[in-house]
Amino acid sequence: MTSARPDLDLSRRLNGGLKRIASAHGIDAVLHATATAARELANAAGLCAVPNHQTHCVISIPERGTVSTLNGNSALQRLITGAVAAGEAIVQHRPFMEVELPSGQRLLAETLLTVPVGADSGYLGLAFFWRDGLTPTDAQMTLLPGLAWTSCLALRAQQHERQLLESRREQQLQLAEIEHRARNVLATVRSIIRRSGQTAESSEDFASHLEARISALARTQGALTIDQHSGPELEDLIRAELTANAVRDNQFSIAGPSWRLARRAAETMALTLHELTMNAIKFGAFTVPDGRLSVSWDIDTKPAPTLRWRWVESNIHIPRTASRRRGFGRELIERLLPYELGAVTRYTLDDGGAQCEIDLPINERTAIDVGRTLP
Amino acid sequence: MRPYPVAENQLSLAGLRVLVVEDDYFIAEEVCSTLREHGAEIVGPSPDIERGLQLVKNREIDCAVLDINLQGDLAFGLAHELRRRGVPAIFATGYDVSVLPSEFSSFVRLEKPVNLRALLQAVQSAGARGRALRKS
Repeated sequence: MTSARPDLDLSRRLNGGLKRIASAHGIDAVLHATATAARELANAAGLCAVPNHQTHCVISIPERGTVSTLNGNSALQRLITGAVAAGEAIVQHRPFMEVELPSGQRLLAETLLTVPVGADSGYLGLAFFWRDGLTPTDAQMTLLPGLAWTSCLALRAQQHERQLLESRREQQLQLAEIEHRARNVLATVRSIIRRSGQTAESSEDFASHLEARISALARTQGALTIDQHSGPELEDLIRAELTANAVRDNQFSIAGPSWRLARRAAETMALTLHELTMNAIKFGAFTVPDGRLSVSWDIDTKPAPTLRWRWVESNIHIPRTASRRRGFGRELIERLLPYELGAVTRYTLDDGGAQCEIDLPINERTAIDVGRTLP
Repeated sequence: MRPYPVAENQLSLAGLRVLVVEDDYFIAEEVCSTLREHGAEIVGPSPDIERGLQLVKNREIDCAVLDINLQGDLAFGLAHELRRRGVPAIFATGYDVSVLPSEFSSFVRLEKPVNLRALLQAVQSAGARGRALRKS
């Protein structure tokens, strides 16, 4: 229906178009609403939007009701990208300029009005195009940059909404991961309780062992939270365990290259270190002032990348009557480490003190950043 | 004294061959010893998918208890192989049910930490089904 006053009619159509752009949901819908408004206002055949990364462009043709993607660096896309560089709305004429759509259909885009919109919207520029003979009047043309900018704001809002959804999904995944870890830690705690119950000699013994083991596990969780991406250093784990049990500095030495442990390896090594330390305090190197402990490790690349870790107590004499039963510590060393990490282990307790050898295969289960760890 | 009081009812897994795939040593040990106490014969346990698959291919199995997340690798490939061979499997997992592909919607799922009574019951019924299938 035509109004008596043409400018009022144009204003009504502009208003309707802007409203549809503002209320469109999804990027394709925004582009379609913009192209439709441009057709109603100025007979535009379609709209082409070039995203920031310029790997493709999106073409909306309201007459056909389609939004299609043109991959690769098409002539149309190059034309628009060049026009965007001018920094302001610009009109170009390219007689016989033809665009082939993925459907095989061809259309003419001989007159082009490119509006550079902020890269924040995800798009460098929007271009309206016409076939020759349908070129708009100057009055119609002046309305289009406003349309493009409204479209840009709507695209930006869509972009933000999409990012919000993505970050919410990301958050849910992180929560699931935290829940997974919490359950795993609880499973470990449950096993520690069960084992402590099986090996304890009295209820006091049970309580004190349990508390110390859970503290060792808690210290590791703390270290894992701090070094979330890099993983805790092996040396720090050893030092933390010895310090927590008030072992004097002059009784031990620690030597080895930097080694950052992956999560589960850190947990099991920390528990193992705890058991070795407690044994050394109860009937090993730390029962006498002269007793010594040497902890050292090296990286071997042949035959397979391996961390060779040694715990050697010396300068003591352990009476033959000392308890040599297989406790929780030996289960960790002789069974858990081989099972979970593929370690080859050996534990001996003789008159001269305890010796423990752990050969850990170097892989993503045992080390953070395997490539950098290897010499 | 048993560390875990398991009611002495009619539950018997005598003769059932149960594959256990679980990367956590303690959990694997707990599951295996509980199943053994009730007469099951354990195949494995395996800490990873690769060894789990080898066991599936080389041993006779009546049912399997699978952890879904094995050191970051998801055990669906292994579950698929079991399904292809008609071996009933039980998922023991700390994961939300939404990660389970619909292919496995009929599998019994036990949440970690696994209730041992529920595990025994699940193994008993899945194992009986698996054994019947194997012998038919």
